[in-house]
Amino acid sequence: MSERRHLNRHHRRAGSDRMGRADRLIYLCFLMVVSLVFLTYGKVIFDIASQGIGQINLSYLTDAPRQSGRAGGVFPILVSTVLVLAIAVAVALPTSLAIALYVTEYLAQGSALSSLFRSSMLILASVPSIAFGLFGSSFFAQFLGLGTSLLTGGLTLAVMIIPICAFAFVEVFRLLPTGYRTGAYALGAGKARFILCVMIPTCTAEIITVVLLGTGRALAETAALLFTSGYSDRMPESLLDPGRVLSIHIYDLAMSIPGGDRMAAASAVLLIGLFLLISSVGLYFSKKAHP
Amino acid sequence: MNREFSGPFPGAAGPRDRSVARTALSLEALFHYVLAATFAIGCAVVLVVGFVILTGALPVFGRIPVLQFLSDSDWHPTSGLYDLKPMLVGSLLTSVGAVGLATPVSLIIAASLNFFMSGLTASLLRRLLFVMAAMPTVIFGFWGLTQVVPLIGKLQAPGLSLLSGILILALMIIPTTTLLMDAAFAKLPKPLIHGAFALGATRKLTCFGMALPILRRAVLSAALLGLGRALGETIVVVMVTGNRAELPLSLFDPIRTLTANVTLEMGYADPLHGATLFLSILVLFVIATGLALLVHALDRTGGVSVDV
Amino acid sequence: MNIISRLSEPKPAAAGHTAQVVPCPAGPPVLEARAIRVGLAGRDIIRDVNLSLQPNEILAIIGPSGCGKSTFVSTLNRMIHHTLPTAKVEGEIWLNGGLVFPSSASAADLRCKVAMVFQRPNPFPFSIRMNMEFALKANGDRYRPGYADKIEQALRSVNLWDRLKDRMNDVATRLSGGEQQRLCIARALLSDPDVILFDEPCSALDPVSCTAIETLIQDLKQRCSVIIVTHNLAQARRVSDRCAMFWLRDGSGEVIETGPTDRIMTAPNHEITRAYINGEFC
Ligand SMILES: Nc1ncnc2c1ncn2[C@@H]1O[C@H](COP(=O)(O)OP(=O)(O)O)[C@@H](O)[C@H]1O
Ligand SMILES: [Mg+2]
Repeated sequence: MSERRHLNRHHRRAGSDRMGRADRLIYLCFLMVVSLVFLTYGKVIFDIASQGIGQINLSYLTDAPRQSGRAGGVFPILVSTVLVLAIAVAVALPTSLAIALYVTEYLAQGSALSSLFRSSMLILASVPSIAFGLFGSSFFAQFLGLGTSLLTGGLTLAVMIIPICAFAFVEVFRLLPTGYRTGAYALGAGKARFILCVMIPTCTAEIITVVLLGTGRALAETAALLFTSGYSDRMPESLLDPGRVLSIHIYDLAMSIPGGDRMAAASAVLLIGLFLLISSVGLYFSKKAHP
Repeated sequence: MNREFSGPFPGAAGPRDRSVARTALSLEALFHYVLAATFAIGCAVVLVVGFVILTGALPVFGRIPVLQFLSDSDWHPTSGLYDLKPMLVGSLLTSVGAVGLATPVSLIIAASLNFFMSGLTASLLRRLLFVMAAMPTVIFGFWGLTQVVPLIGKLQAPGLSLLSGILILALMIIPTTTLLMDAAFAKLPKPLIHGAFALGATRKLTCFGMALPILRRAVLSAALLGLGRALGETIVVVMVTGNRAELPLSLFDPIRTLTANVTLEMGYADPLHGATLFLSILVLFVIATGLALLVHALDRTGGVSVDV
Repeated sequence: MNIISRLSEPKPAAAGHTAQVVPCPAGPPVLEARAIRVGLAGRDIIRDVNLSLQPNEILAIIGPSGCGKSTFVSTLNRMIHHTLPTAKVEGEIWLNGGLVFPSSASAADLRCKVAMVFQRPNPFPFSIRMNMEFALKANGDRYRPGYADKIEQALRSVNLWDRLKDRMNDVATRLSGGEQQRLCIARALLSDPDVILFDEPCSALDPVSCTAIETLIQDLKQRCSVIIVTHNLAQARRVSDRCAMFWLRDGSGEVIETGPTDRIMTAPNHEITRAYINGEFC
C-alpha cells in the first residue's frame, strides 16, 4: 500500500520530461537573467505609472497646457496626436495594401520586380527614423511647401510605416491557401474580383492587425516628428498648422522644462495607455485571425 | 426567329454575358494599373528619400574636404570646425555596447523560452516581449533619465553617460532581438530536437550544442538588426547620454551620437552646418542599408536547410 | 549516476552469448514494461501493455498503423514527453532490474541506455564529425582525445568508416538516405546502449539501404537488445526473434499476442494475428 502511494507521487512528478541536475542549475541562472529583464520592464511601467497617474483627471484630458506644460492639460496635444496618426494611417493603409496586393497577386514570386520590392522595403524599414524626419522636413515641408504641420508629420510617418505594413500584408497574403486562388479563378473570376470579393473579406482580421501594428509604430515615433509636425502646443486650427504630439510633449517636458517631470510622467502614462490599447486590440484581432 | 438559330447556344445569354465580361475586364485593367502605379511609387520612395538626403548633404562636397570631418580639432560649426569623430565614436560605442549586452541576454531568454520553460509561461512572456518591442522609445528615454541616470550619477557624476546610453538602448532592443531569435528557434524542425534528446542530450546541450550551431546565422542577423535599431535610435540617446561632443575616456563620460547631434542642432543650423548634419545622417543611412542587405543575404542562405 | 562509470561496467548478459541458440531465452529481462497506459485528450492511445525484452534479443512490434506502436516505443525511453508532451503515461518500466519509470532520475541518462532510431533519418545539419561528437557529449563524455577512436569504432560497426573517413567534415544531411540512417545508428551506438529502439527504420529508405540496415540490426544483437517497429512482416520474419502484435481495440492499442517469430508467422494463436499475417485485411 505504501509503495503504491510512493509510486503515485513519483508518477505525478514524472508527468513531463524532468530536467537533470545540470539543466536545473543552468535554468536557475537563466531564470535570474530572465527575471532581471522582465522585472526591469515591470519597473519601467511601475515607476512611470506611480509618478504620473496622480495627475490624470478629466481636466487634464480636456484642458490646454499652461506654463509650457507644467500645469494644465493635454487636450490640444491629444488632438494633434490623433490627427497625425489618422493622416499617417489614411495614407499608409491603401498604399501598402496596394503594394502588397501587387506583389503577391500580380508579380511572380522571385521575379526581378518582386526582389526590387523586397530590397527597397527592407532598406526603408531599416532606415533610422531621424532620416525620415530630415526627409519629411526637406521634401514635404519645404519642397512641397506644406510647412511644419500636422500634414507634413502625418505624411512623414506614412512613408515610415508603409514598408512595415507592406511587408506584413505580403506575409498575410502569402499564407492564404492556394485553393482559394485556384478555386476563384476556376469559377472565372478575374484577379480584381478575387481580391475584392475573396481576399480582402477573408483577411479582414489580419488587415486590421497590420494596420494597428503600423499605428502603434507611428504612435511610438518621436524623432521623425521633431522637424515635421513641430513643438507648438496650441490647438491646431487646420491640418496645415503645426501641432505637438504626445511623445514630443514627454520629450520636451523631460528635457527642457525644469520641474516638468511629473507632467511628463502623466503624459507617459497616457502614451503607454494608448499604446497598450492599440496593441491589445491588435492582439485581439490577431488571435481572431489565428485561432 | 432568325436570331434564335444564329448561335450554338440559343437564347439571350450570349450578348449579355459579353457586356459583363467587358466591364469586368476594364475593372480588372483599372485595378491592375492602380496597383502597379502604387507599387512603382512605393519603390520610388526609397530613391526619393535617399535623393533628398543626398541633396541635403551636397553643399558639403567642395566646401569641406571629407577628411576634415575626422581631423578637425573640435565640433564647432559656427567657427568652421567640423570634427565628427566624437559623434561617430559615440554612435558606435553606444550601439555596439548595447548590442553586446543585448545579444547574450536575448539568447538566454530565447533559449529559456524554447528549451526550459513550460509552453504557457513561454507564450505569456512572448506576448510581453511583443508589447515591449514596440513600446515608444521616449518611454525608455524618460525612465532612463529619471531613474537610471541619477543612479549612475551617484557612482560618478554626471550620470548622463555612455553607460546609461548603453543600458537603456540594450533594454530597448532586447525584446526585438529576443523575438527574432525565438522565431529562429521555433523554426527548428522537431525531428532534430527529438533526435538530440533521444541521444540523451541535456536541454543545455540540445540548445547550445545543436540548435545554436545550426542557427548561428539567424542569431547573427538578429544581432545585426538590433545594431541597426540602436544606431538609428535618437530620442533615447538624446535623453540619457549627456550630448557632449567629446571623445569619452570612460563609461561614465557623456557622449553625443550622430542622431543626437542632428536633433539638437538642426533647428538653428545655417546651410553649410545643416549640410554636415545631412551628411552624418547619410552615413547612417548607408550603414543601415548595408546592415539590411547583409541581414537579407544571411537570411537567404541561413535558413535551416534540412529535409527531415 | 555517472554515465562513464556505467559505460565501463562489463555487461554480464553480453559476455559469452555470441551464439544465441534459444530464440526466447529465459532469465531476467533487460527491459520490462508493465501495464503501460498512455492517455491523450481523454482517450487511451495504448492500454495495459505488458512486454519484456530479453538480453540480446530482437523483438519486432507489428500491427497496423495508428495502433500506438510508436507511442509505446517512445514511452520506453521517455521520449514521449517530447513527442507527445500532453500525454499522460501510467505504468512501470524496469531496466536491468531498476525502475526507470516512474522515476525522479534524469531522462537523459535513461536515453543513453535505451537509444532510439527514428523512421526518417535525422542527422543534424552540420558535419559528420560534429554529429558524432554531439552524441559523445550527450553521453557526458568529456575526454576529447578519446573521441576520434570512439567515432571510428562506431562508424566501423555500421560499415560507414571506409566510406566516410575522408569526408568527416562534410555536412551530414548531404549523405544518401541509407547512409544518413546508418550514421544515426552509429550516433546511437556511441553511448553503448543496452537497448536500441527502432521505429520503422526502413520505411523511408530504398530496398538496398533497407537490407543494409537489417543486416546491421542483426549484428547489433551481439552487443545489445533491439526493439524494432515494422509494418513489413517479411522484415519482422527476417530480423526478429520474437514478435508482439499490436491491435486497436475500442480505439486503444493493445498487445494481442506475443511469441517467437517462427510460431507467430506460421501458427498464430490469435484469430486477428492470423488474419493480419495472411494479409486478409488488405
Ligand atoms: N500529435 C498527436 N496528437 C493527437 N493524437 C496523436 C498524435 N500522435 C499520435 N496520435 C494518436 O495516437 C495514435 C497512435 O499513434 P502512433 O503511436 O503513431 O501509431 P503507430 O506508430 O502504430 O502508427 C494514433 O491513432 C493517433 O490518433
Ligand atoms: Mg509509427
